[in-house]
Amino acid sequence: MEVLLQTVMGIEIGHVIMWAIGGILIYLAIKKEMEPSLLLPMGFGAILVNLPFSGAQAVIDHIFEIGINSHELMPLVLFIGIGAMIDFEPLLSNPKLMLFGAAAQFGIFFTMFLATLFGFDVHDAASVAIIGAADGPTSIFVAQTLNSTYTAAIMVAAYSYMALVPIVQPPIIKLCTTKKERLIKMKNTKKKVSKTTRILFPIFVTIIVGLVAPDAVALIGFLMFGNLIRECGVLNSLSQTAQNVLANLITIFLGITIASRMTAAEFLRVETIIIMLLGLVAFVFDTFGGVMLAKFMNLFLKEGNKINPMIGAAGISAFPMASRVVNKMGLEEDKTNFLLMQAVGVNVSGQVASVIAGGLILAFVK
Amino acid sequence: MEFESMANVLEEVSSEAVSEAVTESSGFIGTFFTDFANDFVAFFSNMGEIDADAVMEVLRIMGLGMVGIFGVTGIIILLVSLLNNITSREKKQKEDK
Repeated sequence: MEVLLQTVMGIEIGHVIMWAIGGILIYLAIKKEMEPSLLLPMGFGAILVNLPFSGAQAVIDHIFEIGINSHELMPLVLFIGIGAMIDFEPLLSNPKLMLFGAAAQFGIFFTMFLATLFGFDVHDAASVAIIGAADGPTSIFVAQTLNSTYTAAIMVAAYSYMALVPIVQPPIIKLCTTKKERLIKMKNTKKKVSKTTRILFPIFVTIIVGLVAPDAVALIGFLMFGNLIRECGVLNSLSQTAQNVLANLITIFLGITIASRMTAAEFLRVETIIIMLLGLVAFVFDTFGGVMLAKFMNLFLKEGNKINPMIGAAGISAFPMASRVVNKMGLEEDKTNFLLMQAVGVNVSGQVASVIAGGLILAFVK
Repeated sequence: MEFESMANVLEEVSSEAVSEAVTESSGFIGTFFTDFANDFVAFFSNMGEIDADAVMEVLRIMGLGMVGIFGVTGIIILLVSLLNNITSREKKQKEDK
């Protein structure tokens, strides 16, 4: 009885707040279907590690140490699965779309500047800014490599905002574009891409990024390795395993392992709120960067060749949510305006560009 | 009572005596909020001390980063266009034969 009372008396307000946060994450995962594969394990894990004298903490800490802290193993292995899932054809058939992926990384660098004004040191500012990569594994990799003290908040912000893309992006896109611009119809210029190009693309990208930003070679290498398995055509069963079993398995452990950093003492800090706000800023300015580049390019393009600036917003790497958002917005304006093809091309280029941005940040800051 | 205590904490950042008094008087909920308020004030008082060198360094990184990302992207675009050209030409030649 005394032991039971001791545990109950050990409950602190911080624990209760973390249970509520865990509950909200589970609610968003189940009821709103927002990134359920990650938010649900994270939510449950948040409750698990915030029970007084929690015996689960040691086990989850151990998984964190092996899977994330030592060599960022889980985010990297997850990238093999993500690479195997991505079809780069829309991008390869219209490579210019990659420019929007690059422009949509503006939020990362702008947020880094803003975070410095908030008093974060350069390493932490860079780690916080990488939330704007809209890519969980990249955020974890960069934050861990830079030894950020805010890894937990960064991970939670990165995954939460990815889930919130359908809520965050539309108002920003509307704010940056006119109705006339949103009604622009784009020509569908789908060209057949040869198998040789599909196979050489992941190899060449790995070499180029590896030479420019060697610190990011693990990230881009694992992503492109997954894609090579998909495209080579002789490893279909491995490709299927990477896309499904491997990705799912890692996701289960990744979610609950991230939660190990969600203890009240570590998570309920003023900095967490600031990081959440800065993460939002990063997403907003990523969207802004992509849309603005399209508007700028339209100044030089003839009528009939103009770009619907909304596709620039898909350059944020959150795949495939960002492209779905853009397509949906296009159809809301005009039921015959299908932007999915172009938006997916921009979206996958954002995936590559966010890894490049992460690598460049590591190269400049480390 | 709690609000007054919070205000005291906010006004006197370094006054540990006040924090302790608040902690003793208001139980574990008060402790949590007092700690949080202390952190809040400490964080924003540090904010005033912006390191001008760090800001300049980050501005440099921001410029270099955007140039770098467009540079790498440009190289990849050129490479993909080249690959597309070569492979489509090869295909055409095969078809002609």
